[in-house]
Amino acid sequence: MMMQKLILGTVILMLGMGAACAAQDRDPLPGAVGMADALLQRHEYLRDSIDREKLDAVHRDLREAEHVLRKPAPDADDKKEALEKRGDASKRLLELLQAASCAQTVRMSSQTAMTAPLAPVHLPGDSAAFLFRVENGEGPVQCKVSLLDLSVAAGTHLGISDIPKGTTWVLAGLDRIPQGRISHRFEFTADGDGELTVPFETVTLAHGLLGVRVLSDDTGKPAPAMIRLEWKTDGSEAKPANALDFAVLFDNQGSATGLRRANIPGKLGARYWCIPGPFEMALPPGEYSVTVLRGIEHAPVQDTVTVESNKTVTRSYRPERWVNMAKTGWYSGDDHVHTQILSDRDAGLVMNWIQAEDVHLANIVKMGDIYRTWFEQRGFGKSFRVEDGGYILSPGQECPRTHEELGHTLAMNITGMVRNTDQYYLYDKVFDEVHRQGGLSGYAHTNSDSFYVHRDMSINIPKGKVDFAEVLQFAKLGTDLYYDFLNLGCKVTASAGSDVPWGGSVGEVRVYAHTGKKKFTADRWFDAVRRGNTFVTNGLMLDFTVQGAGPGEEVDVTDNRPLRVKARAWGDARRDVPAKLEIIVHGAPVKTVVPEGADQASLEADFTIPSGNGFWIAAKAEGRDGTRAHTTPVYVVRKGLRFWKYDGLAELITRQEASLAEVEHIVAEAQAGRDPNGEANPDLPVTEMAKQGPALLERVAAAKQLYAELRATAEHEATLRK
Amino acid sequence: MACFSSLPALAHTSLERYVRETVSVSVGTENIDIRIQFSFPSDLSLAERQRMDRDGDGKISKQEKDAYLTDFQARAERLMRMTVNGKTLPLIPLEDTVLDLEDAPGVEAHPHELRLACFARMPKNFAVGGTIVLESGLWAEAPLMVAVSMETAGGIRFHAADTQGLRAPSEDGAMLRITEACCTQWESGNNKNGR
Repeated sequence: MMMQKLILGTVILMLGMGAACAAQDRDPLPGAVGMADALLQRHEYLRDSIDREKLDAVHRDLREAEHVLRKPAPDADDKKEALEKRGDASKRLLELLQAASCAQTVRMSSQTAMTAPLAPVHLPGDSAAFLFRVENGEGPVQCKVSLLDLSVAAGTHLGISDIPKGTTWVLAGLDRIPQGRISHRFEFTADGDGELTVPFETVTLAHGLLGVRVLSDDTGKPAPAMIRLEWKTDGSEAKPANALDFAVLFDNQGSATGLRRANIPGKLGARYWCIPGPFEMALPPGEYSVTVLRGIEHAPVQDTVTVESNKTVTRSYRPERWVNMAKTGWYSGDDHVHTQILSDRDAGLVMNWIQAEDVHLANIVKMGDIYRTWFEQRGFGKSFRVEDGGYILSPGQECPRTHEELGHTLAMNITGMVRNTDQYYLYDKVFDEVHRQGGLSGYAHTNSDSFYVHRDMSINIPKGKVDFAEVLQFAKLGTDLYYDFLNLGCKVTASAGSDVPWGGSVGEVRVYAHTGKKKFTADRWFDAVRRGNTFVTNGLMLDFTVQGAGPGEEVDVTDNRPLRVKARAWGDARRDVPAKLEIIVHGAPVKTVVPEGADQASLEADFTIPSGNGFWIAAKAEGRDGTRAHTTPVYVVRKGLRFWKYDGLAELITRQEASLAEVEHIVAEAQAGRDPNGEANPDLPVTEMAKQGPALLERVAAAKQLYAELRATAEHEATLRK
Repeated sequence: MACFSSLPALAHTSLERYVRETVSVSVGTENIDIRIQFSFPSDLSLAERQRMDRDGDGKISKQEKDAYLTDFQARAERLMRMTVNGKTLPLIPLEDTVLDLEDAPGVEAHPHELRLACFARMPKNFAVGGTIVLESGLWAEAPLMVAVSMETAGGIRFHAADTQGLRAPSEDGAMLRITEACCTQWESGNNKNGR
């Protein structure tokens, strides 16, 4: 009967430099790098019989030597050093192999033979590794790695072929081993005559059950959460039995899955599933590391759970709320969440997600470009908001959204989608209609000046048509553009949005709006954003007042007098603590506070600053692990003067005029049938830009006039400023 | 030869045109480990797959994958630079690079990932105030969405500059600064590799 042989991916890694190599260049242990790689990857299955730290050091030395030796013409000294390093590391690897108690010695002969069965091997899961020392007469020593996937074929005869003369160390890695007690055979075939069969059994332990429930620290009741389960045996991730799959919500855009890689600086930046409540699931026995997140106001839970075969282990986690911002009237929001909501089921999925991340309000944005839309909504306006226990989904839009022309815009709290592709480049039309509907208009991605958003900002911010700008996204705080417009004396609210499914998870960056002591409602939250009572963060919290006025508020002065500035940045050591608190005036720090001790969780500033001729002033914080926070400014307004950066105006205005010139250029290109890159292009964005160009140029002209008026105002103020 | 010419007409388009670069830097007293994952959305993946498919038969054979990876390794060696206290250190492969076509083995618009791991030897005299900078020219000509995380061994801390987020294509193929971190605590622990 023909024996089924399963030979998949037998790998011999030869380090030899070819026949022409000098004798001293000869590899003392061919295949050593591949063996060290595989031993490290399969280390957990070798019953700790090889010292991992020593193995890691050997592996790095081998890799380092190989890196030099495979260069076409390495420096002679480098080569000599690498050869010595390789020789030494090969020797150390051999010593580790020889000392490995798990290694089985088998001897080939010219006959077909069978050894006595190996002792049954009890496995923690469905993978294994076997280390053999195969003796095949006289000859050199080498290493060989064989990876065998038992799911590919039904047979259990595992072929390891081409065993050369000499001694060969073989690491046989097995994957997807069936459950229970299974009989297998390794079949070693010599490079020439001889075949040796080694029977063995694997015993895969029955699974155990893990039950997990996560409790709200506010109510003590089960709550949605973000969770990560990792099997410590091999580092693989387990998907919780009730993990929510968001793919259906994402229109096949971005990272269209429920497994979310959170853009959180530091060690928490990993992949998590969202669970709506308690779950129980079968898992291979072993230790699991469990990480539970419930948004930035909660400390993460990190635990190790041992799952035993045929037993149930349960865990109840209650992530501690280290700060309750809502109690002080600050409610979190995410201005940029892309999900389809066409049914209660869709809404339920997203609601679970924002509750898991403890984000009180999500601006759920339908997205468009000049061609089409994505992330459809069943409707807009108050009647299409979804509310549950102080958490709100509110439909909005990211449209207009042009990639090579004017940037992406956002709208919140709208009663209907505002979209007219015949006027797609006339963003002011959309801003006006959004305002007419009672909504808020803003720009996305200003933190990284993506999609040339600076161009439309130069047209519409000075006209007062824009409420907010995203300055924190994808873990990046970017304030260059934001500061430019504040420095011109334009009020703009700082906002933040995750941009899922391109971002990691809802609320990974968030905007806090101060709604006051009254009951939290969406309308109050939007009003707070409209007033600029916000700060943005992805970890740290900020308190900031100037003469008692908070972010977005004005301090009106009639003379030069001292103003009291109070600021505090704070965090929690289990997430992040502040490494720096800065008070920013006109874009530059006027006060910097750093911690005095390693684990100081709070930094404070309390000082006075002269009101002078007015300014904008904000608080900014950086965390030790790289989180960031920034407030909308307090505006100190001296009667009769703008709060702008008077000394830098010429440069600032010139920069905006250059942006306007870019717009004029792309219109001219479109009218000549070319795209913004100067290439002939008949596509819709170009033809529409050509058609809409004259109207857009009217707006550019109006903006130019505004900048001219600002110059005149500056001249006028010269006499007033003392 | 696989062609790694610049990605045409991708400058500043939608987020679906961004290559995601997820970088993990792990610092210990003896080694700095770097793991980078490049994730290609469907359309970009199609363009890359077309480059892999040298014979144009619509399938990506093992030989074509291997050739692509060989070219990529060479490119990575040329286009990645690690400097510690201003001195360039060799970046040594730590694991074989993985090309994960995600259950779609052919030339089609389906996301895929490239994962590479390398390390550098930490200089013996490193101390508080020392800097680590990682620069990369890999897909620098395309818009990138960069996420960076930094792990350190016990007793070691760094303050990292804000290099994350959306990155515009670099001018003239210049390298992008992917990580820039300054050491704020350096107490030798037992962990040599940062994890």
